[in-house]
Amino acid sequence: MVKQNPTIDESSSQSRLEQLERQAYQLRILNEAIRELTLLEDQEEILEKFLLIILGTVGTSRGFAVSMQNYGRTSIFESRGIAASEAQILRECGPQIYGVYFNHLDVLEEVLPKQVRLVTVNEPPQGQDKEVAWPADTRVLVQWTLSSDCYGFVGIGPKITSNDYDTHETDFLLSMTEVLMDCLKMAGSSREVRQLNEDLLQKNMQLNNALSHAQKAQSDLDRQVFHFKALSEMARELSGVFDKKKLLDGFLLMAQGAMSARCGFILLFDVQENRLIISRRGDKAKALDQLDQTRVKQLVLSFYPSPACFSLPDFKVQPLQTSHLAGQALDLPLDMGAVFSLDENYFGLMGFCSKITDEEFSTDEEELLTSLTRNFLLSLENVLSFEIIQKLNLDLGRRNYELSKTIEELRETRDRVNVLQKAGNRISSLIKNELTRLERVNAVDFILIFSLTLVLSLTYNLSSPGGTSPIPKTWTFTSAPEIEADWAALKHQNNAAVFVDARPNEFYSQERIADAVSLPLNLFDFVYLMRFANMDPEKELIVYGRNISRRYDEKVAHELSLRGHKNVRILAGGLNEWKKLNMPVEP
Amino acid sequence: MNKKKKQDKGIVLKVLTSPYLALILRLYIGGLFIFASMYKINYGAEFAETIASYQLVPYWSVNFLAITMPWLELICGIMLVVGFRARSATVLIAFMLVLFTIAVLINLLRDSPISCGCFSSSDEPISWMTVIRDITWLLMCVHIYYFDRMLHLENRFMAMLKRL
Repeated sequence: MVKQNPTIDESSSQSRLEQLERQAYQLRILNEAIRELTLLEDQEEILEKFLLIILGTVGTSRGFAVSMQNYGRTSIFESRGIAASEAQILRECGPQIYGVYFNHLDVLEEVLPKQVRLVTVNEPPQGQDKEVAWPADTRVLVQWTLSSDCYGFVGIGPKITSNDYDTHETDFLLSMTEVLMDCLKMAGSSREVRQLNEDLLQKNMQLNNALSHAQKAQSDLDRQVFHFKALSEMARELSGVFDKKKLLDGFLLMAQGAMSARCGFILLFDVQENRLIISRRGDKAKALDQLDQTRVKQLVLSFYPSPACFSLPDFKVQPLQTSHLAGQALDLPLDMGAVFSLDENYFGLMGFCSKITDEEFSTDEEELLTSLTRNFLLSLENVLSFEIIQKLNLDLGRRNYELSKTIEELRETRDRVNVLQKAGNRISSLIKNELTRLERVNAVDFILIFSLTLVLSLTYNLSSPGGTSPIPKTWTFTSAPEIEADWAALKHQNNAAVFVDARPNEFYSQERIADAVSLPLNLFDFVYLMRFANMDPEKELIVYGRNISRRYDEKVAHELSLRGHKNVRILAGGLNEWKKLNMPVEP
Repeated sequence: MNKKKKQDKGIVLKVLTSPYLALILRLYIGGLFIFASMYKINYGAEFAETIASYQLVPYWSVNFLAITMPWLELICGIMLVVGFRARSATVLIAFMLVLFTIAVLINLLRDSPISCGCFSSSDEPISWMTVIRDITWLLMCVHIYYFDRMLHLENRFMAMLKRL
């Protein structure tokens, strides 16, 4: 790519040779420069090396190279043998340089690749260059444009030999500038590649990080899914259990599975019934049966400052570590556990140990245990509620039964009362009937009265000294013979007989047979003495006087016969028969 | 006027139907019969004569009646006074009074010169006054029968039964 100068000095072959040698030298330099500069990647280093090579090759001690970007605002500046002030000025006037030499880059859409222009040769830059404070002794100024993003200037001072620069040298300079451009381009490319590589690496690393994060998140998610699964399964399983012991067993089994623990136990204190419900699994938990209950209870109670705390949400589930057990001298087989309470009546603790993987229990599992325990408490509450409902139901049933029994009894009693009432009514009606019957005049009364009268009267009559014989006396003696009325009339007419009136005096006074003598029984003795004592016992006596109630005649006749009268007769038919015969009567 | 009359009538009726009156009458009749029976029981023979004087019963029953009738009077009188089966006693007494009245009536019509013999054998002879007296007593018995309900011995027992 080195351009060969076609002009050959025709003066001499010597000079031609020298020229050729110089060309060969320049070519060699170019070659070396390419070899060296392509190895470099840093622009500054490239510029520095390039400047050194040029200065050395063209034989000058002063020169500079500047590479600009970004409208001249950033530049890389290298200089040799230039005053520090000049270098400083040049270093800062990048935008002005851009404004003067490269403003066409704004307009052009595409820049032709690798443009190199010789601005000045063997004289200081002038004219349009006034705005730019180029170093005063700049003899050659080369403007180069690699791309719209990379452009600059290369300037060199006068030769040490004070000769002007010839075309070979300027050509060489231009070639070198092209080499510089190539190298810069390469460096830029390689830098870009490196940059890209670095970016790639970084991205790769980030990706790796992201991947590991994703994996972690995945595993977290998996675990959480597992935990949730365990929770939901437990909730489902335990929701169908209505017995405390079964609930404990079921929970323990599931919790052990979720914790992957070989051994586990739950102790639930039922204060109301004053008993301890134990559920245990695994070899290490076997010794729990001989546990000191009071000390375990103390341990659980030590977690609760006051009885009111039992139902506070913060105290419901509290993690239990082995360190808690140390103070209590309790030998509970647990690596991880929890103290839980539903209320002041139901509380307890649970523990798990011997993880299947022989690892320590993680905090995740502790959290899981807390969640599970909360779930368990909910189930336990359900069980208790169910128990209460069942108990109420049972009570209700029993009461129902009692009620129905009472109703049955009441019904029976009512029936009995009805029967009794009926009987009572019957009895009372009977009594009433009997009473009304009693109130009425009764034949029985008469019979009773008559019987009583009979008994009393007869008894009295018998026992009384002046008793009267109930039988008529006339029955006890033979009565006197009777005489017919007509016969008696004859005797009356003939005064052949004495007529004796036996009736009481009043009857005699009232009416009597004419000339009859009154001889009443009550005055018998007196009248007899007066009238009959001196009478002939053979004298015929005709006695009359009887009625329905009395037979005076018979009695008087009897008395007279007792006194010795032999001829005593009774007038048949008495006074009535006498009157029928129209016989005389008195008065 | 009418109202007053009615009221008076009411009061009279009340007095006439009063159980107190019935009680007084009951005690009077009871006492009367007890008193009447006393003499007759003691002088059975004389009473027999009295019965006989009435000339109503056959001669063979006179003595028997003389023995038993005073006792019947006594028992009925006592029952009336104490108030035991008083109605039955009243009926019996009334029955006896009817008999006596009829007997007196018959003998009055016969013009028998006999004494009543109600209280003793030496009573005054029977007259229409005797009939009226007997009918008065009979009316008293009717009153007792219908209105008497106080101070009965048996009422206590009855009340007890009723309370049951």
